[in-house]
Amino acid sequence: MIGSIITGLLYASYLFLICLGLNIIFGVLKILNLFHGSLYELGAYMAVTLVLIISREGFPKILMYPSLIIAGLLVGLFGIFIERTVISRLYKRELEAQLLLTFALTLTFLDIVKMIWGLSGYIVREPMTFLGSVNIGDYIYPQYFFLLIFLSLFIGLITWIIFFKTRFGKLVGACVFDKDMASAMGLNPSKIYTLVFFIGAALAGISGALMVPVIMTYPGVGGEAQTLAFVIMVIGGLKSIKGSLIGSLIVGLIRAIGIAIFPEIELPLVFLIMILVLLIRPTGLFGEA
Amino acid sequence: MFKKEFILSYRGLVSICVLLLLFLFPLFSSPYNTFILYSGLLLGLAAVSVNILLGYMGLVSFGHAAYFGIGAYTVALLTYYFNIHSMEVLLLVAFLTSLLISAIVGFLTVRHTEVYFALLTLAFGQLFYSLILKFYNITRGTDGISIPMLSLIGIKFNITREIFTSYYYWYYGIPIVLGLLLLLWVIINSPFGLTLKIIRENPSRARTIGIPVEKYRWYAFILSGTITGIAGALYAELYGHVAPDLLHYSLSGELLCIALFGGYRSFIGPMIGGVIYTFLKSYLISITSYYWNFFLGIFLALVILFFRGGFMGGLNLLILSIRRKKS
Amino acid sequence: MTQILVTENLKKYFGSVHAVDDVSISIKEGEIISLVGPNGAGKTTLINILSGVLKPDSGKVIFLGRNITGLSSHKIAKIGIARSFQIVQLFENLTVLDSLRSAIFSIENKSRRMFSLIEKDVHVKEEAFKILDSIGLSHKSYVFVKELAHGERKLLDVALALALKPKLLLLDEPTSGVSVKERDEVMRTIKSIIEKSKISALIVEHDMHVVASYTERVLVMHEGKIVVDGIPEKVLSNEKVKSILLGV
Repeated sequence: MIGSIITGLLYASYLFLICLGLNIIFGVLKILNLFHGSLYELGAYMAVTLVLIISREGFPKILMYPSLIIAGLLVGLFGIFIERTVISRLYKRELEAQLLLTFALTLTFLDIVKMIWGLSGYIVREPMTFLGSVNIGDYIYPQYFFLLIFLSLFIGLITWIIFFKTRFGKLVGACVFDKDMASAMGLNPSKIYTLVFFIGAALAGISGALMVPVIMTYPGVGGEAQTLAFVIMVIGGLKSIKGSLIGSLIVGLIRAIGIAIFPEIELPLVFLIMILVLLIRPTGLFGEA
Repeated sequence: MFKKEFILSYRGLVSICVLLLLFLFPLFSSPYNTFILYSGLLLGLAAVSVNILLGYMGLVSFGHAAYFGIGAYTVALLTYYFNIHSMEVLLLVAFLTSLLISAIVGFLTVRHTEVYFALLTLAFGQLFYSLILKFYNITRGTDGISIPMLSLIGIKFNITREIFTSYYYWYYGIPIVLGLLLLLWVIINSPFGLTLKIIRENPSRARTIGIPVEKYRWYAFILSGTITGIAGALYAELYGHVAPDLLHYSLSGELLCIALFGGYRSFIGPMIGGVIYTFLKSYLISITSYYWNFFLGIFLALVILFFRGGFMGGLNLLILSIRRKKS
Repeated sequence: MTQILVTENLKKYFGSVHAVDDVSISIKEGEIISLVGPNGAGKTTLINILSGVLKPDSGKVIFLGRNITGLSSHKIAKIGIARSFQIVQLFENLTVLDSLRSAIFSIENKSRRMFSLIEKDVHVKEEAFKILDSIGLSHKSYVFVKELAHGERKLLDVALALALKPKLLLLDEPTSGVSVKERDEVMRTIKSIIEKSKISALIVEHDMHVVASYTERVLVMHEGKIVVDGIPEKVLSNEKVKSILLGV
């Protein structure tokens, strides 16, 4: 049982980060980003490359960990590129344009990943094995799990501080509230949008990077993360950080416990909950309209 | 539509040529190309159905592939478990199943609009996808189910699958597809269709002229889901195999992209989109083997960004500019 | 003369704002009444309640002897109350003819017909042309709504309401945005159609010339309440009314 809970927390952690990014992009830019899973995937692949370089070149192993974060930040930079070229054209467009364009990007990206990194997957366990494991009860758990959980909470906290306690956060708030008013007052909404997209993409990228030692990295690995991120965004509440946290806990634990007890029902159950939330309380547990 | 003026007009002539082409296609084309065109027409039919919601009502259903898959899996499961081999019976049951499920899902979803409708339909689609995926014991999961050669109008065929698919099944299925298309055309040009259009244009005005908007959205949803289900059922026998991916939201996305790319403001646009898309995809697969998604994605992105009217939109502009040059 | 519409103590609040504050009015058959008042007085809110777009917080609306309080707007449209909008609400990408036909199909309960083509219904087409003729828009029948001039859009907005063959017509600023020269034309057209079909009308207006020339009774609304009710000559020369309307 404890095992399932810890696995559940692990799932919750990476899902929290990717959902946070999705939520931020939706809350500020009003874009439902179907490309988000691909950003997760890019983060994973970048992390794979960086870690393998560190291994091959014999750099100190401790560098593996910052490299995971750096991989995520690189995804953020890529996000800036995508936002400037593609996403910014969507702000004035209809919902279907947003969904389908980000969907089309996902298709393209799937093959870019194949072209650069090849068709087969990568298993890069080093960052996890390097830290060793710890005994809890009858079971052995990689210490890396706890590092991941801690990092995700920490990054979540930083994000919260950025958006609610800094001047930047207030500027973002102004833009969301009334974009035209904000630019009339001298703010540059498009710069702010780009920065917000950077943060959202970086969060997805870091999420992917952190999960590299845990699961295999293969073309399309972002797909499931994408779908679950949407589910959590709905359950926890659109545009709510607290909601993303609670929502990812719920989904993470359901997945872990579900897989242990009744594997067939676990995934359908997640979607069923999403449907129930949308029907009964569309704004989610903690969201606002 | 059957008046002399229409038949002699450009549209009439083009339509007759297309019908002739479809009628003669298997006779001068390879079985492979017949198969591709057939798939394209079925996907096109599904896209026309999705477009009832997208183009005519302004609703984005991101879970529509589920009905396609439900139609297909109905055929698969009935042949697999109950040994039913009559295509007519299978089509009937697929029709009823997709009718029932789209009625239920539609009822729950049409009250919501915009983002919530898209998310709800996505969620329902993924719910059905995950049910089919996970209940391996019943649905064979990712292995899928193979569908044997079925009997058409009571006739059992003792020939190769290839000949069956590219001749007999073609002449059986194409009239059904055309018949359904005609049915949809009549519905779109009926008072009901006009009502759907005004709901898209201005739902609150529609209400104040006496239209119960949610009810009509529900009817449109049922119509759309049912036709998509029949397309899926026909597809199952064409392809000979069903897999859970038929219900995944990526197919829903493809259907929407096809509708957009063919021209979502036109009736026949999505059908043309389906045919072109399927041929394009098969061509790309044959020349790049692993990287067709790359080109497809870029192509779709360009269409969405710069060619909003799609193929039919572009065609209309072309015709307009030719007419202007003439006068 | 029968009472067409009676409201009893209608109230509608938005937070602490009393948009409609204890309004009790009555409209007789064939009466053409104007509703005036400064911006924010609650006129459009009252229209919204009467047409079913909003539900009142308390009070009743009785139409032709039947309590219709809280009925949804599509049901109210079917039983004989039709309205136009302050900011025109039209079907931009449809033709003028199709817009009108959609309303006629609705009132004749033909909207659900799926298996007959629109063009085959000659009766509906004729009805549509009748209305278009009476408002002078038949030469624009096949034009897309989004291409109409502003005055024509206003007329079409009213025509859609008239197509429902209502017994009570609620017009929300039918001449706003229309040039002063055209206003008389528009109002004359509307008034003759109304009088021919013996429709009652409640017209929200800001133009006092229109109020005086085309309506027989004036309701003055201020801060959610009806403060004055009388014939135009008396009401418009009243000092208190003048100060309300000028916002003093």
